[in-house]
Amino acid sequence: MRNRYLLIAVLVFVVVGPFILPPNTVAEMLIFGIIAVSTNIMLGYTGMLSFGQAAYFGIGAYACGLLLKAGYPLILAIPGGTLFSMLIAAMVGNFCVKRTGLYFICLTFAFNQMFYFIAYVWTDVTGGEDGLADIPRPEIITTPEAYYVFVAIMFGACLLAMLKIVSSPLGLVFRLIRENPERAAAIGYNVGLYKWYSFMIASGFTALAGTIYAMLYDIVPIDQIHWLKSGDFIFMVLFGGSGNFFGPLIGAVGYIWLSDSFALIWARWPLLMGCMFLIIVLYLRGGVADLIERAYGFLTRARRGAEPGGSAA
Amino acid sequence: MTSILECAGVFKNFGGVPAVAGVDLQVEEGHIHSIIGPNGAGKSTFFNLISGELPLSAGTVYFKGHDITHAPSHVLPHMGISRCFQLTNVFPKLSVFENVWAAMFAHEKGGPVDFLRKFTRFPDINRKTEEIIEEVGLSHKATERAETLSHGQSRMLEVAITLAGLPTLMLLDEPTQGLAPEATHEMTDLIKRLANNYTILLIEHKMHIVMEISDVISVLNLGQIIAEGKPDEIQRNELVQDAYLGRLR
Repeated sequence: MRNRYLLIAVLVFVVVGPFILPPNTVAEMLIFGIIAVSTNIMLGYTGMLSFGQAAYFGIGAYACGLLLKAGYPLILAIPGGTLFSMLIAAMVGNFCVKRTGLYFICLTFAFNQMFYFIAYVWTDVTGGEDGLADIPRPEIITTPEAYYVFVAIMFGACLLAMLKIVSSPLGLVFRLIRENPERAAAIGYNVGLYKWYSFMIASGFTALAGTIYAMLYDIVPIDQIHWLKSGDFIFMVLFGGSGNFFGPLIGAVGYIWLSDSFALIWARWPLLMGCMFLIIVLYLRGGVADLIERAYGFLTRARRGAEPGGSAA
Repeated sequence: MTSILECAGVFKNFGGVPAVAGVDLQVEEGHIHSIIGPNGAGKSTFFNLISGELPLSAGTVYFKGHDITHAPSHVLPHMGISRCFQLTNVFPKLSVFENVWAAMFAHEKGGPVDFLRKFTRFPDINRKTEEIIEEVGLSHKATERAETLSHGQSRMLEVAITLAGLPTLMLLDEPTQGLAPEATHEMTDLIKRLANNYTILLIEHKMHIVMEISDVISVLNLGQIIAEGKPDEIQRNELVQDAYLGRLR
């Protein structure tokens, strides 16, 4: 029931958003929203902190951009880019999930940097330092409005698919692994395999978001595959709240708003972000979503307390 | 009577120190087979070797005639071996129902499609989960998070998770550890009831329980079995008395 209200709130944002903010900014929020929620499947649900998700975002974006530049239609470029990136993620994930904790983080980070340097030196294909430019937007979504509708539909489909995953038995198995991997194995789950699934699901949706991103500004800048971008994804999840499915969306919206709109007012906006990150890590471990929940709980309790006999509840 | 579990020459060294030094053990189907011994005798290590938590240094373990010596721990529940841990080892942030449901699902799931179906589409698993929770007396706590349970209730949940694997052989590692007398009594009753349907390999420190419920007792000391037999035989055995009282010979 609660999820239903939150879904409606998201829908309202998707519809009203482009009338308040530039459509491209809102489209970017939705794209990074997909990434933040999918990263949280790994971080919040399975307990795996990956510092390498930008690799799959970037590979998806580059692959889709190259396919579009080669004249392939949208209907092939998006699945093509996503599947290619997932294939890479499948191989990398296979190595990474064999290790836990710090070693897992280091491996994901190392692979991310490897792909960054490949993109950096392979100038003929990726455009190197200049990024992959002049990506043509397919005719059907040339106008900003059409592109926004396309992004909104993809966002909705991804969000529903991910909600389905985390609220199914597969989501429960992910939470078992987060809580107690040894016990999860002792009751019969192949922990390594399910961690790999979680890695693949997160990377798959991130790659899909990457393919959509390639058409946003018709360019894939090289910094989109840099590990700092992976750090941004983690920031979005922690800022929004990793304990809640919808929390990371708040993180993505907040982050894009700061980097796109607020940056115009104050160029040193990352300073503000750093302070906010400190506050969240020190005092607000559940992120903004947790703050909202606590405030809601406080208000309902206060209201009940004001009613006669209500305080007992 | 056929033996369901056969261990031959099971050996485990930790840095050259043998914790389990050549244990031969046969567990008969339908029995409650207890393993007793002083602290540090190697009982829990022996359990960890059977359940695949630790690799053996030498020896073989057969379950129903299948070699499970090197089977990874996540495979054993599917073969019919389920264990409970000495230190409560549950999923604290999940509800009691989810804890038990997940253990049952690991065993009862069908194809990959089942992983994406709704929870309401598994009426069988839901019903059996409720039955197990009722059996261990936690029905009133089913929707509570496991971390909110008392120690005694956590021990019961631990057994419930073990039961939910629908095993043929249950490995119970000190299920009554740290329990108050009343809760110990409940746990003993539960184990006795379970004995009608399962083979149980039990590690236990409370002698009156071991003597009351066991069919066979093996005594482990310094990693070796020093005696095996029915409870009254073990009680009379001088070697056992020496091991427990530390009498000099």
